Amino acid sequence: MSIELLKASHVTKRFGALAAVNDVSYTLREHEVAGIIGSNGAGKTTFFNLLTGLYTPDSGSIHYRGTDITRDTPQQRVAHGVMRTFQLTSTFDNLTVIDNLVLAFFRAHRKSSLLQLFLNTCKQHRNNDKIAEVLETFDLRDLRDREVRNLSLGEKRRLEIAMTMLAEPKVLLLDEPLAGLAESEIQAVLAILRRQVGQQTILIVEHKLSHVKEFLQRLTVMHEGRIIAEGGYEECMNHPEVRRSYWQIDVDAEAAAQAAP
Amino acid sequence: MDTSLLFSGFIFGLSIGSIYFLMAIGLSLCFGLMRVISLDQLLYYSVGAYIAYSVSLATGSFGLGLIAAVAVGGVVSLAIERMVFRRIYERDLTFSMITSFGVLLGGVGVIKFFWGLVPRPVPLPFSAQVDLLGTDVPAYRLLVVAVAAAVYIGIWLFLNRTVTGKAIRAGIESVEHVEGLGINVARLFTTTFVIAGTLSALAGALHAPLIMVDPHMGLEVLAFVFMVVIIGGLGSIKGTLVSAFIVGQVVSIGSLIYAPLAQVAPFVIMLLILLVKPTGLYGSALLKK
Repeated sequence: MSIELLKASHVTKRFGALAAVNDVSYTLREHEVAGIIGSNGAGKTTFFNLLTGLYTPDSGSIHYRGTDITRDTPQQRVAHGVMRTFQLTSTFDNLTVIDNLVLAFFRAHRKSSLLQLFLNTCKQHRNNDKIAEVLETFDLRDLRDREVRNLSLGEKRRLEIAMTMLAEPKVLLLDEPLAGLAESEIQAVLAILRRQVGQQTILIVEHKLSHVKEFLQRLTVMHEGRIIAEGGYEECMNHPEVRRSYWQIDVDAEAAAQAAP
Repeated sequence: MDTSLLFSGFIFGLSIGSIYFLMAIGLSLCFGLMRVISLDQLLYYSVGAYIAYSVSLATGSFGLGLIAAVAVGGVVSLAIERMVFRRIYERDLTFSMITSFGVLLGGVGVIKFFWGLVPRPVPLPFSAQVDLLGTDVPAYRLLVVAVAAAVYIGIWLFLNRTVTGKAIRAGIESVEHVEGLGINVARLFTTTFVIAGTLSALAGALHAPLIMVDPHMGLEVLAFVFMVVIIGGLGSIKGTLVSAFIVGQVVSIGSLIYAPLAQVAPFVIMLLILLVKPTGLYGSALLKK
């Protein structure tokens, strides 16, 4: 049995009267590629924000490799190796592609003193091997010196994933990585993800299930802040609760129709 | 009008603009990155002026006074960031405005306690005149302009060349995403705040020999510094430079034409610019959020 890497136990997060995430327990194992789906407002992004430290849960706990990280800041969680991408890309428009990568690389590989804060120039890192490799892998070499504001959404998404990879995360949380992309761009992102299967622990929130189901080892369905089904793709899709709340199929009427002579 | 008078007015405007620039740049950076209106920058300006006064009086060296002012400004701003701002970054913009105004007023009280209410003169470190295009120009004013120019270049290099500078620029776009990369945002905030406080203290120390140092000096320049930030566009360094230049010249040349203009003209210019471009000259990107 592989190691439990990230574990949420009975986690709840409320916004006023609304429980956006309600008593959710979830475990992500090493090298697993798992998915979460759910309709809008199901609590997927809030759950992501709880895992990455943007929100602190009202109750429950989050552990990374057995260490309690419930109160850790996002920065401390990144230091553990928990990284994420955002629904809207988190690249920096006013910087060039290479400088976005330098920022991602720098944090992951340096512990800097106050003096170095002022002495470390981007130029020193631009020709780094690791960055060159990522530019190549993610097909970003020609865009190297472009300002990110001039990139297409697909290019930005590739850059964003490249940035998280540079930091060599232990757990990668992808929030709708295919949202808003054209088919060719989707294929480019999928090709990158396919290469990570078996090497990287990935948790992915995605609506375009047909694209990602090939490499999902486990699927979890959320509805109104709770987990309503968990298991293989087919198993989840046929779960009555999922059919009712996610596909909005009238399961009772269906059963009645089947029972009728 | 006499061209020589006009030229010395221009230099006078440049030196005033330089002081405004040094103060406004801190306010502008603090807003851009941390989304706080840090009125207490005006306190560090006063503290800088008073330290320059006391140290130069005690040692006879204005240079030492300047260094001490910058160091004390840095330490005081660091302490206030840790004690006050750390707790209010998450709050509304208005909250930081009110709190920092409180810090400013409290600080003025402390200044009154130590130095009293009487305005103090700081002698010019050197009274040499330089012949520039046939006009005698006070060398000290040129020094002030040179320091501001050096600070602009330094800040530009810092923001555009160093990793920390790029992280600050990235943070101005989205603090959340910078945090997502694992960058220590709290430290980035502290660094920015202390840079701002240090520059405000430098402005105060440089300004001291040109005016009388008094406890309310920060409040007196408040309107002008705000004007510089608003005209330039919050969060923009280039905008701050351009607008400090404009405000400095309008104050200086305006007073040559008709003395009361010095007080009114900058406000008129600000209103005109805001009518045409409500986000200020270079501030559009930030106000989208």
